[in-house]
Amino acid sequence: MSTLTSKARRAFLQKLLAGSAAAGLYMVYRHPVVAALSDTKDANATGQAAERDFAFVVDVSRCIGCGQCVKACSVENDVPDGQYRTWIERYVVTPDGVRVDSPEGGMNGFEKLDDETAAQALNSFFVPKLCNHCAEAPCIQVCPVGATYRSAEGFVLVDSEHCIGCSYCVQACPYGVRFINSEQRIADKCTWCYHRVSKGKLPACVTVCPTQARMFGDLNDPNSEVAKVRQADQWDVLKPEHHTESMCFYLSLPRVVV
Amino acid sequence: MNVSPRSHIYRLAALLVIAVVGFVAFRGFAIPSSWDFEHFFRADSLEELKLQPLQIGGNESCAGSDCHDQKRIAEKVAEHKEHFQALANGNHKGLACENCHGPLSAHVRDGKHHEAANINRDNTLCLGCHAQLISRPEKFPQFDNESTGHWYFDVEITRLCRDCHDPHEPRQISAKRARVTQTSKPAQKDDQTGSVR
Ligand code: HEC
Ligand code: HEC
Ligand code: HEC
Repeated sequence: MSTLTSKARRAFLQKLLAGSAAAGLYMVYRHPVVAALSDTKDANATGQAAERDFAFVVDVSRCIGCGQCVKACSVENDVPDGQYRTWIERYVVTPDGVRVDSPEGGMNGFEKLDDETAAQALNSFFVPKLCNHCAEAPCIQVCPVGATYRSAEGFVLVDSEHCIGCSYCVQACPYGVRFINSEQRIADKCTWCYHRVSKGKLPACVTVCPTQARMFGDLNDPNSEVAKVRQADQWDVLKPEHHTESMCFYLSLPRVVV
Repeated sequence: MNVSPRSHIYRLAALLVIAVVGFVAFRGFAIPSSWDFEHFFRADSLEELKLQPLQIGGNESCAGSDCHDQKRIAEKVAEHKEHFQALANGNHKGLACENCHGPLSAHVRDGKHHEAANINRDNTLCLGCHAQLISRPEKFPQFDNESTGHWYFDVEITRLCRDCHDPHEPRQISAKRARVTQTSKPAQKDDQTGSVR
């Protein structure tokens, strides 16, 4: 090795070291942690204890399967055709087993059952489904980039800017409420109409439900319907064995529903 | 010049420093500025999500005050008010105007009239909710041509529902129209239990 190249290399390494030290100092100065430490007001804004804690109630015994909720949701949230943020399932319990269908998510209602099935039916009912906004949501745990989170008020949301569309969350959700939006190519799901609730409105599906089978409100408000339902303690959640702490309480939920 | 016997260690240390600084720098740029380390999400996304425009207005926007100020549509406003009253007090009180007239955003944009609201005058509208399905709750009123009222007027499912029922107050039966095909039937049905679901 000649002295010349060795010197040049040493000079280069010294410059590199100095340069990265400078960059490092700048990064430390700009780093979010330092920024958060030096600006306490900003840090509190997101970590604030929420005064509201939202929950959803579905009364299966009231649902008439008209599909108004699915229609309204698709319009409100511009959900692509063939994908649904909420949908209605029709259960038909027969001696041969349980049949479930949901043509177009129940968006355009349901046709009459064929005579054979109808004659066999022991029990039949509609079950509206939507995101349960679980307190212990599996979808949040698996997201590799932190693009999905539970807000302080109880909304499980997707950060569309940050989502990379890996669809881990789609697989993690035991309720199948997540999908990859066929137009935006990122994870999509019911938001309980966060944009509406933040403006003091009810979610679109709750607004249009003609029989009040869907209810939404604040658990911390003792006068709200959901708080009363929760207190009365006659509710069920879907798949309790998954311990997701679902915040979607079902009333009159038959045992066969999964 | 004597090369220090520990120079290889210095070089390694220097490379390590560069690697660490490089990583920290990259990490600093990759993490969004509003990142919430405690809850692990980008705090700005909450505000971004709030920007989504509303499409469904709810009944309060039909009874709302904005439209009332516009003199030009005073007549329409009165009509809306009337329907609103009828809906609020009748058997359809749980319904939203948008159930039958489509989303507000198709009708009103930026606080101004955009397009006439959709009016479906067909039976498909009523039957979407009132067709007989065994999956519906039994107590929910479903169309039955054997029910007393319908039997009396010989109503078939193909007959226009709004001939008799006011969509905004369905218990308000327009007797005048109903009588058109009325046959000479007794006022009461003999066998009221005969109707089947
Ligand atoms: C059950 C379905 C239904 C609901 C709910 C409903 N409407 Fe209607 N509406 C109709 C039908 C059907 C007509 C057409 C009646 C006809 O032509 O006989 C109509 C007609 C109207 C008209 C008259 C339009 C015209 O040009 O003749 C207005 C205005 C109106 N509705 C406003 C409202 C408002 C405001 C609400 C909410 C408070 C509402 N409607 C809720 C079904 C409904
Ligand atoms: C979005 C669903 C929906 C649509 C569309 C709808 N209705 Fe209704 N209707 C209801 C609900 C909900 C009730 C209240 C049922 C109850 O009291 O349990 C009701 C009640 C009624 C009643 C009173 C039933 C009784 O108990 O005496 C009549 C009559 C009626 N509707 C007729 C109509 C007619 C005619 C139309 C078409 C213009 C129509 N409905 C459209 C949901 C709907
Ligand atoms: C010829 C007039 C007429 C027509 C057309 C008509 N109805 Fe009725 N409907 C009545 C009368 C009368 C009653 C009884 C009202 C009462 O008891 O106060 C009634 C009652 C009802 C009820 C309450 C439950 C019941 O069966 O008593 C529903 C639901 C209903 N109608 C739906 C419809 C639907 C849906 C259509 C269209 C397919 C329709 N009606 C067409 C006259 C009519």
